[in-house]
Amino acid sequence: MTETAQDSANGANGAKEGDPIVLCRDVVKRFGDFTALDAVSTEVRVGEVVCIVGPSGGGKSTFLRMINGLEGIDGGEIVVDGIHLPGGKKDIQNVRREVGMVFQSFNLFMHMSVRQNLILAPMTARGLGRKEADDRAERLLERVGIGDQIDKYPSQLSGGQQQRVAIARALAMEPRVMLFDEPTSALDPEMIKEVLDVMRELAESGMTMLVVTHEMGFAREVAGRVLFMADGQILVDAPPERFFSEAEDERQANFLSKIL
Amino acid sequence: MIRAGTRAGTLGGLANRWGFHAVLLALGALMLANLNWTLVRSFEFAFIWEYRIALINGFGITLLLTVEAGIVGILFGTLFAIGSQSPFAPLRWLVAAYVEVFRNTPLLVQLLWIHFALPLVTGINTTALVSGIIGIGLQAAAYYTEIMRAGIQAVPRGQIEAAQALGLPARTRWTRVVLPPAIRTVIPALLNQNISFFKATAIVGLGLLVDDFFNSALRVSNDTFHFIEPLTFAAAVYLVLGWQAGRWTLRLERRLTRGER
Repeated sequence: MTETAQDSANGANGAKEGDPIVLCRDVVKRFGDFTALDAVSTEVRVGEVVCIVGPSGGGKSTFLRMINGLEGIDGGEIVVDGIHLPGGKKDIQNVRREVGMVFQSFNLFMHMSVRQNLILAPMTARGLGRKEADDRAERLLERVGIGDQIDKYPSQLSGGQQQRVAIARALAMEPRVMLFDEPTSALDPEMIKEVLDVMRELAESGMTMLVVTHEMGFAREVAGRVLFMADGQILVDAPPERFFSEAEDERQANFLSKIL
Repeated sequence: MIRAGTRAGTLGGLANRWGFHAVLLALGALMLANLNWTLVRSFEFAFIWEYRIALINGFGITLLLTVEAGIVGILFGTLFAIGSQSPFAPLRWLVAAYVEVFRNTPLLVQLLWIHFALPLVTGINTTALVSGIIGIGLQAAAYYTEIMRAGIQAVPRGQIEAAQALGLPARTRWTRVVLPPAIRTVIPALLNQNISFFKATAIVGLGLLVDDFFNSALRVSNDTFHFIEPLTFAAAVYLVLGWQAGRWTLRLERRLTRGER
């Protein structure tokens, strides 16, 4: 399953169902004098779906981006499937092959067709052959419901379709964990559902997911746990039933009263 | 051009255009009134035809230098521009120093230095043409580095982050994700720059006595004791070709921006 990095002592170890696959210990992030994350600790087990909610500026996206090395770590450590961060270039590269990411603004490669977007990483970072990569791309596009758009360019697709392509592109690397950074925030309302449906299906298939979102309906239905982040800390970590019914933190209560 | 087109219908635009033409007309009249008509009547361009072979060969050298500036400049400019984005600071400084040195010294000085001073320092002698090729290539690389750097920095941050998040190797990130849109953005700037180098080849001709188009025209002058006609003819050739290339570039630029997302 993890053919990469077996040779490295700091390598993916193939966590099984129920094992922790993302481990964060006292993670710190600073931007100059500003402490964006202040000793955050948590863990995510294989197959879990964790939604991260909270006011903007609370550190949610920063936290997510640190898990695949898009942001450096200033203190503490993050362990993804046995690979320790902060680490060398190679460790970051190995983590990125295990962790897929979906961005708020899709970030599809605009000068490539949908097919090229999907086969580029598997062929260059996983060493897949063209035929295999093509088959995988077609299968994944079917799965997210846009198999007929494979030879179009991103600019010819709607926002919802683009985001589904972005999800398929991340899945093409066969990651063990998927990160979603406000995947529906840039979408028109009528397109949010089609993206959430794909994410729901993904969750049901057993994918480990961390989702930064403002979609409380999605968090309530799909998440196994909801984390409430504010001021660079995880203030609440609760199953959704409890999270949405009884606030255990003042800021959480304040936040919920504004959005529900 | 674009402004004249959009404003042509308005009263102000009309006045502007008439004013422009009136000024041209007045200048033209002033020139005609003061021309030395005896001299002008003595002009003859027909003899230039007899030197066609030399001029065509010279034009070949001019074209060679122009194309070489384009190819070498874009190739090394791209490499240097990538270097300018390196996290390794000394590499960035090196690129910056190179760009500043070659953009802020006159091409003629560089050419003479390469042809006459470099052999003394290194012991390697080069022919005038090779010195010209090296000099114009070095300067082109400096200018194209700046153009490519602008193109690279115009690629949205999200594209690079997506490539990183997918675990693409650094090489693939550059060749497949960053450079294609970067180059597309700067194609008009690259071509305009190359039109400048097309004209700058005359400096190679005169400075190093390479038989490019311009120097060949000057040889015709020396040979025939007619100075003005070959010079005027050369100017006309540069003007027509440079102007036409500029029009093509503008048309390409419009097509490229029309196709944008």
